[in-house]
Amino acid sequence: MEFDEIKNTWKNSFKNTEILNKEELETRLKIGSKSNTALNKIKRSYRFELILGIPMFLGIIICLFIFLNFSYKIYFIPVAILFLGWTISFTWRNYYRIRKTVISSDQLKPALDKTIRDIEKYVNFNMSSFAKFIIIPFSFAFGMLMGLSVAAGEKDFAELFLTMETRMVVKMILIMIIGSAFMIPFSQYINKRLYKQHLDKLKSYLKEFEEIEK
Amino acid sequence: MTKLNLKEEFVSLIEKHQGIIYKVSRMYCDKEECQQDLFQDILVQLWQSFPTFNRQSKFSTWMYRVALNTAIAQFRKDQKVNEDSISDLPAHIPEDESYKEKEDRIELVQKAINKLNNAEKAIIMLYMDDYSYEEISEISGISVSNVGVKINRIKTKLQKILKELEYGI
Repeated sequence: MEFDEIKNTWKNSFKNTEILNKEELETRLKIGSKSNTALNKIKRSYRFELILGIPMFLGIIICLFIFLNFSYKIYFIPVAILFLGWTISFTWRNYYRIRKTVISSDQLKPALDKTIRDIEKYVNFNMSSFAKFIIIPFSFAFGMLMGLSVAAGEKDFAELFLTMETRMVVKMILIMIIGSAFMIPFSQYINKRLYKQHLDKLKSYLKEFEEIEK
Repeated sequence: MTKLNLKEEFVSLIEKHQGIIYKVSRMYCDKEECQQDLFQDILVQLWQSFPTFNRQSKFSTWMYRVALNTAIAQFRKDQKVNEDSISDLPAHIPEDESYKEKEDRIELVQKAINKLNNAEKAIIMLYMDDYSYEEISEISGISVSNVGVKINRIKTKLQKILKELEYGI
């Protein structure tokens, strides 16, 4: 088949395509779309974290306020506000930055390059040492301490620590280590599963564009 | 410009140039459902990006860029091209020989195009849509000198694929 014939065949294939009028186009715009581009997936993921995270944050504070003894409240509530607030503010900051990002109208190659950099920037593929060794173990320790203090009832905070058996302390440390050791690769696995395959594909597409220049 | 005016202007421009969305959707998806989803997504992405259109370039050039960027950035599971379906046209198609031949040829060309990579698809589509080398370069980001060379290579590749598909090599 000559190339002109290919071209004409391709052009003719659109001859019977249904043309949408203004009203139909407006209706379609109202419907919106569940975009499958990487940046839109990341936006949705951050939005989901916020929708889930903010009520959880408020719920934990309310529970601490209701169930804890006054002597515990003064320690736990500020720590919980600082810690949970800090993690939510981190998610919010990233969401705020990415929420108005629209698909690039740049040339294809630079746009692809930028999309790849954005994904690497917003998806935490290799968790930071701070998250690995501070945030995750601290979350476990804090959760266990809150549980203990709720169970301690009227006991004083210092008294609770002094009366804790060594076996209990060792158990808590073990849970913290094992829990963190499980959570870190699990969280990395989820990120890779959600975005790594997509990122690799985009990198291979970029390579296709680079090969053209050779 | 108010949002209402902006939307009116946008819809008018899209009504005129919607063929671009159809072409990109068909170029990057071989299944009807995927094409429909991609059409819808490109339309929405175009509307969201419309405020960034600076009116210095032609609307169709800007539209091609956004549409192609959306299509390429989409995550699609690898689509397996069904080799057998060339001779597998549904039985209810009118028995007019020329019609069937035409349909067969369109399907064959579409299959051959599907075998090109993303960059090649973008370049050949713009070329088949009568864009100049300069415009193809402006949209793709590939230098003008390379566009010409690459188009010749893609043409040869496409003809080779078609031959393979026609004769089942």
